[in-house]
Amino acid sequence: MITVTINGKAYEAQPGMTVMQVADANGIRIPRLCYHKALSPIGACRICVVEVKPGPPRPVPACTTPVADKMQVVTESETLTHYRRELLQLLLINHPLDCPICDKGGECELQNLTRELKISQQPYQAAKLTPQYDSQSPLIERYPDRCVNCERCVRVCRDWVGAAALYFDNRGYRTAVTAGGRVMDCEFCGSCIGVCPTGAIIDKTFKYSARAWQLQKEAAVCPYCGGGCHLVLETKKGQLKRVTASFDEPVNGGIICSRGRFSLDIVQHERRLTEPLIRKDGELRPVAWEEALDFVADRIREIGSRHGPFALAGIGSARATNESNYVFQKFCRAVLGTAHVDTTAALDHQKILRALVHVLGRPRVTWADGEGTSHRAIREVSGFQLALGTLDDLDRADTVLVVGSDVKKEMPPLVWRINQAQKRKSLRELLIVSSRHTRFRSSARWSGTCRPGGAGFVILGILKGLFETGGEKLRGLGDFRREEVLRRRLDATKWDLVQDATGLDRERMVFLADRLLTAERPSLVVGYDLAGLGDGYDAACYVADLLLVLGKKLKLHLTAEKANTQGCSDMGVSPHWLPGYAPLEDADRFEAVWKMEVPRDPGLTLAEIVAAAAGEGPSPIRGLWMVGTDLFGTSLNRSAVEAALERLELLVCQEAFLNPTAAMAHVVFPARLAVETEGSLTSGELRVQRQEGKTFASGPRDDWEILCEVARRLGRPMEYASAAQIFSEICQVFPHYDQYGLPDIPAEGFWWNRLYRTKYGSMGWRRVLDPSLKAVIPWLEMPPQVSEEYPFLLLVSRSLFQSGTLSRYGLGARTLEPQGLAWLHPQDARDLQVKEGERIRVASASGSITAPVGLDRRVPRRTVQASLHFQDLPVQRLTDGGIVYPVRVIPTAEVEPGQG
Amino acid sequence: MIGPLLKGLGKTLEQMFRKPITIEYPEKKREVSERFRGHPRLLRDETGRIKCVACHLCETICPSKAITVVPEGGPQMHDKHPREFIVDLARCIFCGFCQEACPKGAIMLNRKYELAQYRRDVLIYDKEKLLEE
Repeated sequence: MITVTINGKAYEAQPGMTVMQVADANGIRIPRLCYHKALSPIGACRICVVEVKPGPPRPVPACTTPVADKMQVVTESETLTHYRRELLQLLLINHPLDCPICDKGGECELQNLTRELKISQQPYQAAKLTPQYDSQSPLIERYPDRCVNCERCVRVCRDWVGAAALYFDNRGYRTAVTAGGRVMDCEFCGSCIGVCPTGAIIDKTFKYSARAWQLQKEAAVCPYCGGGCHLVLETKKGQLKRVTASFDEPVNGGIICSRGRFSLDIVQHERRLTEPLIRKDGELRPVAWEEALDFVADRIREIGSRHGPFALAGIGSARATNESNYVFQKFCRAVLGTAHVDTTAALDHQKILRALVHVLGRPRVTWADGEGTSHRAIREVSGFQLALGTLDDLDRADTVLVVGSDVKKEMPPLVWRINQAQKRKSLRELLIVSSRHTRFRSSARWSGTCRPGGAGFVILGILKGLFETGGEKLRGLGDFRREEVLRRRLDATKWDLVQDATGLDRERMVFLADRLLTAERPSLVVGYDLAGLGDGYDAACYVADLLLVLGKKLKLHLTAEKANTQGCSDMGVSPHWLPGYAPLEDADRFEAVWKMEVPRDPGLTLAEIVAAAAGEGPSPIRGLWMVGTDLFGTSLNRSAVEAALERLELLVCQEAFLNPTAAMAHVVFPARLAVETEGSLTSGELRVQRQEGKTFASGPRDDWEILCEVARRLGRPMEYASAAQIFSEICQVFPHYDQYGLPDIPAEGFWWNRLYRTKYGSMGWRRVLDPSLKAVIPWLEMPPQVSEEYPFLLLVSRSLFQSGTLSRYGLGARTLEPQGLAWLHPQDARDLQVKEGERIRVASASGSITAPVGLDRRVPRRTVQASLHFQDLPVQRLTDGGIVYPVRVIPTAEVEPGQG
Repeated sequence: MIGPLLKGLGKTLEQMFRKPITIEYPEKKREVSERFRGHPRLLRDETGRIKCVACHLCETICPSKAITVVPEGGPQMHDKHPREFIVDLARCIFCGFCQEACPKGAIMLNRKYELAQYRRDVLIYDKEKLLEE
């Protein structure tokens, strides 16, 4: 601690802080223009000049001057005001007087400064500059004449987002921010809009729709990916006008991606469902709530009495809140009486969780004996959740290894944190192994290209490398059983095989293993390129084994594609566990709380439910209840899903939009979106956050409300008055959530894997990885290989602008990527003699589609890359629950002359 | 005794030859002062375009919330004007704040004061009406 005197008053400060930071921390305002607290200071505008003693005899910028002990700072004096006024007047030479029409008017830092410094005229003249306006870029407009060259947009784009799409052109007086070309080639996250102090970069979707002071601001958690970013919804007269982010909050630090900023207009989309629909004479027709609820209850009773409760199944939603998912699985298990509960996350994210539960154990709390029940002391906590890291752990990590994940597209906040850690130099080594090149990958210290589908073998190879070269260093890190079996299995797997599967040789694997072993705080990021594999569970078992071997040191970060991917697993929407990952044998405990019977048999998984609904197996599924799920947006084979949904006697959907799945339903209930539902959401880093829920459309109801209504009609009522009441029941059955009541959850949420943080206040209990844990060593299948018949590989990928199928309705996503493309490497396209935009036919063993071609140098050779988001690109016809398939690519001109 | 009576009659006689003060409204209209604050109107510039740029300042300053502006962009980048500009004269208190707040001199109070109507909705003036006034 050092002491700094500012304007005659002494303040305490940490060494290394700048004058600006000390002043801000103590509520002293220094005028500033280029300084932004989320960005590294550059001291360009010199508006923040202060006088410092001891120091140079001239004013120095407060944002770049570090404080020293016994430093005396003066922030206001006649000279300083004179300097600032002169500087500002020089900036105003080229600034147009269009404040009345500028969208920034009212929240413009330049406007505020001009008023603050009482500038009413601008006496200088200079050569007129010709600004290069940009009105052609999608979603963003740029007015260079309003720019003050503060470099904030350039810094945020480079240091946070990692896109580096904006930079300075020219020198001196003619310096201007440019995007290179006529239109911007970037990620359209709009972070530059957020940091711009003037109206030089503005939101095209917001342009001229309201003035800043007319907007009401409300916080919300982003409903798109599992990053849990905080958004600020700005509304005027109940209409959403724009989405921004606050730089004060700790989760995403004010940065949001294009989905959150530009695609949230789905809440007031004209095609939102507002009335329940029932299929009458083959068509879905709007009916009253009572009629739809009664109809559903009757049909369920009928199917249940004729075929037994196990003819019914439920699919929960990674989009719905924890409360809705909890009530949903309770509805399925206790009210319908079926064990068939699953979610589409079972195809990817839940595979990793299953492996983690299997290897590292379920979350368990052991209480000390002899204490009261209200504030019991914890003796021990164990389970897989202790191995999962938070975003803050990424800040501290010195080595980050990314395997099997296109992180930016799956969960952008992870990338922003990694970029920041690299900028701060706390992250020394970023190692990325992926099958495709990405912009993020080019920022890595080391990157390797693995074959599509080889992510599991990469982890296996790293384990093999660890055991071969780790030696003494491995001792004392992990303590688990079956280590010998694991070693033997790894020894039996030859390096040649690993190299065949991954394309990476022994030397590189050993290098990665060595980096992980020598790092002090390593982090491993694993995502959907591993989890989405057909044998994703087996691959994830090796990830869990790696966590065992490296013990407490290694932190695992999972990407989550949807807002509550993690939460719906936590709430027990899975045939493998009850809420809180409780084993199915624990049903007694839940029966005591729910006062209803719970089936003990293991249920069918998602793929099995679809197969059973299509009539396969001894006991077919006849009724299916789905909450916020589009089965046609998953990697399940489209033809199989179609067959299954067509055969169903009853398909009930709770949806916000009439997506292709809901269009096949017998009954559709209009549901609120996750932004509109009061409740909690659990992000990919196990952060439980409160969603306050602001309703935009009248008509739709909360998912859990609809379920409670039907339960009451079925004679097994679940009486909940509010989301808070459901949350307290969740706390009762899952003690890790029992840290706050729903209304008391702090703005930044809480991590459920850090039980000690709040209520229990103590860290006195042991937090260890249980030595009784044992490695699980499944056989990994060789990733799909190309053959003569199928010379290409299909690699299912994700888009940066889309999220699942919900973003289809969003303005940003529609503007930026209206059409799904089959991406090819330009060289492959040349070999096939197809040009960009031409249609090709892609055929796999499961089916075939035609699609327009996109060219991208970052796509690996002999690979077709396509994503599942688009309605006009039914990639699902080619897949069967996985993400890599051998395919044949035929230019359509050869197959169907005349088409193209 | 007769003196005061004659004095009074004399005064009356004097009044008969003076110009009357009463204005026979509504047959005759009163001329109001230059600074009289009647109801607001919108102005056009010399090219005939509406001067208003829909900056919402009048709407913001209006103490009786009589003004509603719905902006609209034009083909040019700096082109902004009101799609709708509504003044509810039933709410207007003729304070003239809108005129003072306007950075473009686009809204001014005219000198009209005859606003009595049988229906309220007649008093809701839209953009065209305000430009005509």
